[in-house]
Amino acid sequence: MNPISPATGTRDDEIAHYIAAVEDSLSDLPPHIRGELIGDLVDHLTEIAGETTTAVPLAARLGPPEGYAAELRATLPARTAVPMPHPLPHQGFAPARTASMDWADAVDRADLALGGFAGYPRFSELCRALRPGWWALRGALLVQFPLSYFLLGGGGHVVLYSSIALLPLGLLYAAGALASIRLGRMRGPNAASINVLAGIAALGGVLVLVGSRFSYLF
Amino acid sequence: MRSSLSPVDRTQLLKGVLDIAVLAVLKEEDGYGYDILRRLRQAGFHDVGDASVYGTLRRLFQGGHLVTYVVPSDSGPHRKYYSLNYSGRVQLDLAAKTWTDFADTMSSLLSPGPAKPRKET
Repeated sequence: MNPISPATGTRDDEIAHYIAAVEDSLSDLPPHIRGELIGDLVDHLTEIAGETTTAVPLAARLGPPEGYAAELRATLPARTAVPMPHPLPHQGFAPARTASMDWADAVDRADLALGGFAGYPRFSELCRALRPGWWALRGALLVQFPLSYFLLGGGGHVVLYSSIALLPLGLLYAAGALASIRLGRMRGPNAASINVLAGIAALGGVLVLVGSRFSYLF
Repeated sequence: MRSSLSPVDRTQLLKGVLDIAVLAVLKEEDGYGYDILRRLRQAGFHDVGDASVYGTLRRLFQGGHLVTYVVPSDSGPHRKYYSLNYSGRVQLDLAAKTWTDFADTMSSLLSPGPAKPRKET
């Protein structure tokens, strides 16, 4: 059997020795099962070792490697000789179900990847964090459209840059933004539909304004 | 007299529900190995061991129920976070229903008084 945690070794040596002893205790298992069990153990034990600044030996924190191996072995499914079942397509599930699961998993991965790129655990979390900003913008846009299109004679004047009555206009935009935030935080059976409609109206208004402003191009 | 529920029995019970417990912890929030162990212990599974949690995470990951991502840490090694995917959420919903049904049956058996017939669903 391998020596465990030599007093003079580095933390990496200690981890390597501990894993070697765990592997030794699992040597009766088929190599692919053993590989599945300990494949990630270096990273895991490094993570565990990094949890404290004091140099507590691994065996003191986790118990002897033989015990760790026994506990690990107990997590195997009853039929240890066969590989673990995989619920995805190549193992023979119904195509419709696996297709939807593949799609959902792809969305999950994209969610994680895009989120990681933006510095968030998930992209959906970033979107949730940005929602109040979008609600405020939506409210301002919903105020912008009627002001610009109806009160100032159409033609898509951009009221935001108008010098006329800046204070009342600012107040109107703020009121629109606040009302839209309130709408965004509304709960109830119709809240989602109303919010979607308000979003479509705001974006539709922008398109109408932009279209009428640049109509001379067409 | 010895307790009717020996530590071995408790270990067996824990083994049976650890998958559900780990999935439930991850439904709440993504986590890395040691963090999941800590949250399980805080929830009341004081005797759960690191190897049990690590092995369960490996098995759930290889079963296609979890995805992982690595987060750099300023104070130590990078941490591998586990997160439920669609399959994991489905698995948890199914397991939660099974567990509720099982626990109701056991509670009904263990409660004093005549056994009440259970409504079939």
